[in-house]
This record gives sequence, C-alpha cells and structure tokens, in this order.
Amino acid sequence: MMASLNIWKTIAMGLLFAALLVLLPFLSGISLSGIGGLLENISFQSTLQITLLNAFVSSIVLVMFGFMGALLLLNVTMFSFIGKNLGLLIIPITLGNISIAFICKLLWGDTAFFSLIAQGGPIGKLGFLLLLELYQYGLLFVYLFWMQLQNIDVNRLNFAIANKFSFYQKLKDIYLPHSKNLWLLLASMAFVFALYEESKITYLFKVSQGTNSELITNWLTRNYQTNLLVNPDFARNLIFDASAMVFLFAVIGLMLLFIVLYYFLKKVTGLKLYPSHFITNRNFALINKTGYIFGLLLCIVAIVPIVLSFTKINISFNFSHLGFPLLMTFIAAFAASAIAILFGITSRLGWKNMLNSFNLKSLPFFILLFALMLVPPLVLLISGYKWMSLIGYSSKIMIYVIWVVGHILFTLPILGSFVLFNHFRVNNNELDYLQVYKLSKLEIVRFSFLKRFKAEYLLLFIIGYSFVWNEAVLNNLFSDYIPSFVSGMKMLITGRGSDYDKAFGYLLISFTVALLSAGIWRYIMERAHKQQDSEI
Amino acid sequence: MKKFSFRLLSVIFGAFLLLASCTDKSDKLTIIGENSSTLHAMQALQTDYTEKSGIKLDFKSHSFEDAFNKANEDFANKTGLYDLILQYNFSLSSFVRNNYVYKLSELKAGSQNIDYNFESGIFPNIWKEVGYYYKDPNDPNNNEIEIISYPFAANTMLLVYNQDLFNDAEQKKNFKLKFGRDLTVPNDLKSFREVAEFFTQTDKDLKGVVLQGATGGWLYYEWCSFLQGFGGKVLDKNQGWEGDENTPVLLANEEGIAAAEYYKSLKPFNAGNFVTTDAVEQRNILKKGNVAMGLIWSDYAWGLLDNGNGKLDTRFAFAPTPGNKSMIAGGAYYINKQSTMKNEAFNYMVYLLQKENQIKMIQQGLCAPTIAAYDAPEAQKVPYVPALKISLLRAEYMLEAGPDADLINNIITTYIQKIWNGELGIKEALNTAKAAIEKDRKAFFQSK
Repeated sequence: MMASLNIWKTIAMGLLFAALLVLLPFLSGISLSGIGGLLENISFQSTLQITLLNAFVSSIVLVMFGFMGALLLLNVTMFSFIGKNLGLLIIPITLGNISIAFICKLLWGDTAFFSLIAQGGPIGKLGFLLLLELYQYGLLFVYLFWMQLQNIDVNRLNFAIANKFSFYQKLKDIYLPHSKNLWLLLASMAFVFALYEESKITYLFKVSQGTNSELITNWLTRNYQTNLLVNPDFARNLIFDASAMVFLFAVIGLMLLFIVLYYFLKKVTGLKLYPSHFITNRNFALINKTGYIFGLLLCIVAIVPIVLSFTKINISFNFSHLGFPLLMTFIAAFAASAIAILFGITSRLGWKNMLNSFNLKSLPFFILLFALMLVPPLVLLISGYKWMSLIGYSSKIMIYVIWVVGHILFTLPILGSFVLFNHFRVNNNELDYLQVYKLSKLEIVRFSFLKRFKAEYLLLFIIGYSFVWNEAVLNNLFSDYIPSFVSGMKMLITGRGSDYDKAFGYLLISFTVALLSAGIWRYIMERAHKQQDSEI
Repeated sequence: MKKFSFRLLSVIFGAFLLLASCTDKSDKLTIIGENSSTLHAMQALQTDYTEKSGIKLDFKSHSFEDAFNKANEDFANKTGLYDLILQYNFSLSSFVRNNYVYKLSELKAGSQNIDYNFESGIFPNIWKEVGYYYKDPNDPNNNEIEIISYPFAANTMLLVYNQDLFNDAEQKKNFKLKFGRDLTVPNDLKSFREVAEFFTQTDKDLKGVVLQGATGGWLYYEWCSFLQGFGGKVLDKNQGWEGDENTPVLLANEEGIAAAEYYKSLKPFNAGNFVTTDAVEQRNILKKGNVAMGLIWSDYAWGLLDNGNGKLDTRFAFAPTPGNKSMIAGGAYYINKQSTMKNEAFNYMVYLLQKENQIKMIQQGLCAPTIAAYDAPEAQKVPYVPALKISLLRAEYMLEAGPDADLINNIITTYIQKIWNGELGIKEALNTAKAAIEKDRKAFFQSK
C-alpha cells in the first residue's frame, strides 16, 4: 500500500518539479540588489497595488457572475435544445486575448463610448477590461458552474423538493456546497488571468505611465525594453528582482483570495438562519421561466461579436502557413491533456486525504501547482531564451519536442487543477474499497478515472487546445520555427506592416478552431444523450 | 473506434516526423527585422538575389517588439540564429558597446572585388546618424568615431494632407475669407495651426489634424518634431548616439516650453483619442477622409497609400514637416559576430545598396538611404518620394539614440500626456521630466 502510494506521489512530484525547473534561470538570476530601489519606486509600487486589486476584484466578479448565471440556468437541462447549445459559451475562451482585443477594436473602436473610456482614467479602462473578461471567461464560468449544478445527486434534490426547501435553503445547503471547489478553482484561475493581463489592455488603450493605466506586465515589459538598450544582462537584473517581488505578492494575493473565498463559503453554508424574506419558491419559479431565455441570450452574446466583426472588414485570406502550427498544437494539446490527466490521477491517489477537495490543507499543494502561472510571463520568456542558449537550436526535431514539452509544463497548472477538481468526485471510500479488493493500479485508474471522466477529459483537451494555440510566451520564443498565431496577429495589427484585412483573414483560423471546438462538444453531448436514452 | 484512434495518432505522428525533418539552416542567410515595407521591399528582390548569388535568404519577419527582443537575446546568448539584423538607430550604441556586431572595416577587410562607389550616394547626414559610433566606447575621453555599418532605410516625418479637402472650392473660398490668403499646404508652424483650426468644422464632422499621442515612441517622436520646429533639443549634443552621463538636459528651456504650449494648443483641432493614437490608428483615422493633416513617419506612408489591391490611394499628398528642418531616423544593417555567413551577409548588403536595386525597392515602399535613387523617374512616381528627398536632405539629429534613448522617450511621453490631459502645468511637467531624465539616465552609462 505504502509503496504504491509512493509511486503516485513520485510521478506527481516529478511532473511538478519538471514544471518548476523551467524557472531555474529566473531563480538563479535573482540578485536582490535591486529590491531596495524597487521598494522606493513609486510607479512600481502603485502599479503592483492596482494590478493586485484589479485581479482580486476581477476574480470575485467573474466567479460571482458565473455562479449566478448558472443559477439562472438551473432549469435548463443538459440535453434540452438550449442545454446542448450552451457549449457555445466555450467559444470566447478559445478565441484568446489578442483576437478578442482585435474584435473589440473593430466593433467598438470608433464609438463615443470607447473614446470616453480611452480618454478617461484607469478605473474606466479596468472596468472595460472586466467587461471583456466577462465575455472571455465569464461565459465559460457560467457553463462550468451550470454543468456542475447539473451533477447534483438526484436524491438530494428530491429530498429538497419533498421538504419544500425555499430557493435560499437550496442555495445554502445544496448549490453552494456542491460548487465550492469550482468557486475556488475558477476564482484562482481568474485571479492569475487578470494579474498577468497584457494583450487586451495594451492593444486597446496603449496603456502608459502618463495615463496612470499600466498594469504590472506593462511596467515590466516597458522597463525590460528600456534597459535592453544597455544590454540584456542589465535588463534582466531589474526584471528578475521586480518579478521576484511580483511573484511573492502574487502568491500572497492568491492565498488571500483562496482563504477569503473559502471562509466566505464556509460561513454562508454553515449558517443556521433561514430568514423568511429571502427568495421564495414562487419567485424561483419566475427564474425557471427565464432560464431558457437567459441561456439563449448567453449563446447569442457568445457568437454575435464574431458575426458582427465580419461586417466590419474585407477578408484577405492568409492561411498558407498555419497548417503546421495547427497540427503541432493538436499534438501539444493532446500530450498536455494526457500529462494533466496523469498528474490529476497520481495526485488524487498519492494524497488521497489531502486532495479530496480544495481546502486549507490542500492550499500549499495548489499554490505549488500554480507557481509557474504566478511568475510574470516576461520572466518565462527570458528563461526560455536562457534554456535554449544551453540546449541550442541545431536540431529542428529537438526544437519541436521542446516546444511540445514546454506546452505540457506551461499548461499543467490550469489543466492539472481542472483535472484535480474533477477527480474530487472520486471519493475516498471508493478508493479504499478498490484497494481492499486488491485491484491493480491500472484497474483503479481505468475504473475510477478514465472511464468515468471521458467527457471532462474531452473538454480538457478543447480548453488545452485553445490555451496552446493562444499562448504568447513559448509560441513567441519558437515563432521562427513554428509560426505563432499570437505573434502573427500582433504583427498584423500593430506596427509598420499592419494590415487589418490580412489580420482578419488570420483570425478566421481562430474562429474555425473555436466553432469546431463547440461543434465537437455538442456532438459529444448528443452522443451522451442518445446513450442515456438507450440505457433507459 | 480504438483502431481508428490508433491510426489517427500514427498519421499525426508520421506527419510530425516528416515535417520536423524537412529544413536545414546551413545554406541560408537568416535576416531578422520588423514586418514593414522595408522588409517587403527586400523580399521582392529575394528571387533575383538567390539566382545571382546562389545564396538562399530566410526572412524572419516580426512585430517591432519581437524583432527587437529576439535580436538582443540572440546577441546576448551568442546563439547566432540571425546573420543579418535590421534595427533602428537607438540600437546602434548597444550593439557596438556590447561588441555584438562586425564593424564595416572588419567586413571590408574580409571581402574582395567589391566596388564601393555606392557609398558616395548615401545621404551623409543619415549615414552619420544611424551608422557611425565611437571607435572606443569604453574610453569616454576618446571622441574618435568610425563607420559601423550601412543604413538600410532613411526615415523622417512628413506632413500628409488630404487633397480632396485642400482642393475643395468652398473650403478655399472660406479660408481666404477668414485668413485673407490662399489655402496652401502649411510650411511653418503658424500656418499649420491656422489650417488645423480652419478645417476643424464640427458641422461637417471634420478635424484639422490627427496627432500621435500614444506611448511606445509615437508621442515622443512627434513632439520632438515640433520641438525641432522651435529650435529646441532634448539634450545638448549633435548626434543621437553622442554624449555620456554628463550631457546637459535642455528639455525645460524656452524652446521646450514653447513647443509644449504649441502642441497643447492643437488639442481642439485633433481627431481621435490622442493617448491611444499610434501610427496605425492615425493611418486608420486619416483613411476615413475627414481629417485634413497629420505628421506621419515616412515608412508608414506606403501603408497609407497602399489599398492592398495594387492601386494607390490618391487622396493623400505629402510635404516636408512645417519649419525648415526635418528629423533623422532609420536604421542600419548589422552583421552578427556569431554568424557563420559574415561575407555572404556583407555581399547581400552591398547588393541591396546598388542604385538599380534601391530604385526597385523604393517602388515597394523603401525609404532609401541613397540620394541618387530618388531622382529615377520610376521612384518619382511614388507620391511621397519628392517630399521625402527634400526632408532627408535637410534632416538633422533630433531623436535620442544612446543607451538612454528609450528612458528619455518614456519620460517625455509621460509628462506630455499629463500636460495634454491637464494633470500638470507645462513648466512643472517639463521641469519634472528634466529632473527625472537627469537622475535616471546616469545608470545607463555606468553599467558595463
């Protein structure tokens, strides 16, 4: 028993260690000599504070939006017409930052509202950014919460109906406890996404010190570029020291967010009060009626910007060299999903008691897993250059392998935590039972995980594909060998060679990938529906 | 299903191996630069050069930021990925001080049978600004300079104006009524403001000018053009790359204040959001047709005219910027010291600088660094070429190109934006900017 647990732990720790190994050039490059200067640097301090505050607020708003949206969709069943088409809500996240910024610019760049925001203060800009994030991540969060609420045990729901639970009682005693882990996971993801946001705000608002609108990524990039004119070592010294501080505050911020949300949920779900003035069942019935309309509305919101953008520009097709990166992305996403699943399974089996939910005991593990994402992307890029100077660029095969391995490691925090979250549904009693009956390790993996989470793993692959496709660091690093969609888009919408028509042609690839993802997901839902019908 | 999945995976893996093994760098000259009309012009001659020399060219075209980062990291890590680097004048000091690139004398010593007559055709003022540097940058007492490389492009700012508006009979009549003179393309700062004011007609949804107020150099460069019009400078020196930590900062003097006041006075006549307006956004605003003028970078002029369908947009015409001077910008070819194709890269540079090739490249959007190419009839057909030649002939140093160039750019951008938004008064802002430049730039010269 002990030996087998060690194997699980060894594999999981090995993967975590490999992911953190990426940071070696960064860790060895921190000199701490610049920390004193940074502590006195007002622009750095204020930018970091604004960024952290923005990340905190964004994550809370996004997760609240996701949960409340899912509540409004409660009566929309998984296999209803709207339920099957809710998969469209994954489209915005598959588009990625730069595409969303470009679409936004096309649709609203000339409006008085946009001008007002662009010429106004930082709060308006961050508010606008939050709107974009509600589109990009919020819709996905609604979908994930809705799927989670669809999985509530029928007996619990029947018990609630039999006992005439009010909506408030259901919310407090069923919906919130059931989605607690998802709250923590999605809030953490939203925190990291907002913390290191750069593309959208930079492209749309040309953020600057002069307009007090920089986020920490902008501050780091600007200073790196400025100091590069001395030499890269000089530039790295400042950036590594600043990034070490940013990382530290990011860890503290994430822990704080986790703890605040954890205790908030614990407090709310632990309340014994059932005040009568909260929403009654009758009011809830009203929500039921609006569920389908709300679902339809969300689907429209997800696709309308894409459709409208076609009316704004002439398309100049430019697909010629994207076949290879699409293939490579498929390989990387497949490998990354497989490794994330392996990580999720081994972690769940290795730390059975600690990793049966997101809680204060599992927080250190969770932070360790997220560590790679809490490092500023610029540091990852510089570390990438350092690693490649050691490995060399002589073999193309080697470069492709490194690219795939890099994506496996870079996506591990997000995909791994998503798998972990799903694996919380495998309870400890089941694992103990299987071990008592001396099932082999492979049989446990097959019965308790692989067979059960097929649909979740497919969704994982779809999300993984979009992450790899839209990833900006590694793809940039190797863009001379594997054309990068993000770098290509950036080149076509900024600078001397910008060409919006060509950029839009480029964007069509992203649209296709997004629609294909939604289509595949819908097909899987259809199949599951048919399978369920045949079983009945 | 299982068999299908296995086959699918096998096909993907096979395709991966096939694609992975199909290229080889060894016989290619790798060139990195910003995706621009300059690079496109070079690519237009790619087949011709390969046929003549037998050397394959591999262009790595990137956004400015990516090209800049990749080149610097390649130099610093000595990975030798790029043989020929196209970078702008502010990179010159860094590349030489860090000993990243070959100097022209080293390249010439390794090459034979090359006719260097083309050198006399290069704009001398441009060459000195973008291609010369201190012979011994580590010795602050040695002011001797030498040629580092040849320029690949000679850029400056141009005045672009909408001919439809300037030729409109009603507008001409109204202008004469208001100012008592004919409506002409402004050639000084006073008339520039008058014309900008005149064309700001709310009832017709017209604006007089579109300024570049965005960070990233746009505001800094444009404001320096106005500063130059007032006879001012940021630092007291004669070349962008010149100077050291003790070079006096002039910014907040009489000329600086006049330039900032003038710039802010254009605010009521300005189209767009200013702080989000970079060269691309400015171009998009101009193309809408309801703005009379703008100051644009010469290497953005091709993109403004090119409709993407082989035809040029004839609404726009060009003139030198108001005043009697223009700014020098542009960049040079740099050959990486880690390159294994040093001589091939040098020969390619020489090929590109031949007059007949410069003429061909002007027709593809290059702002050529050679004077003679501008007089060719084919080149003169490009709408901005006559104005560009006049501008380059009168061009002088105005923009910083030392290791502190980006620092100064950022500080000036910050404080001009604050002036524009009314956050700070002009004198206060310029004095604060001057103090910040004086304080921060020292570290950039002390670091080795």
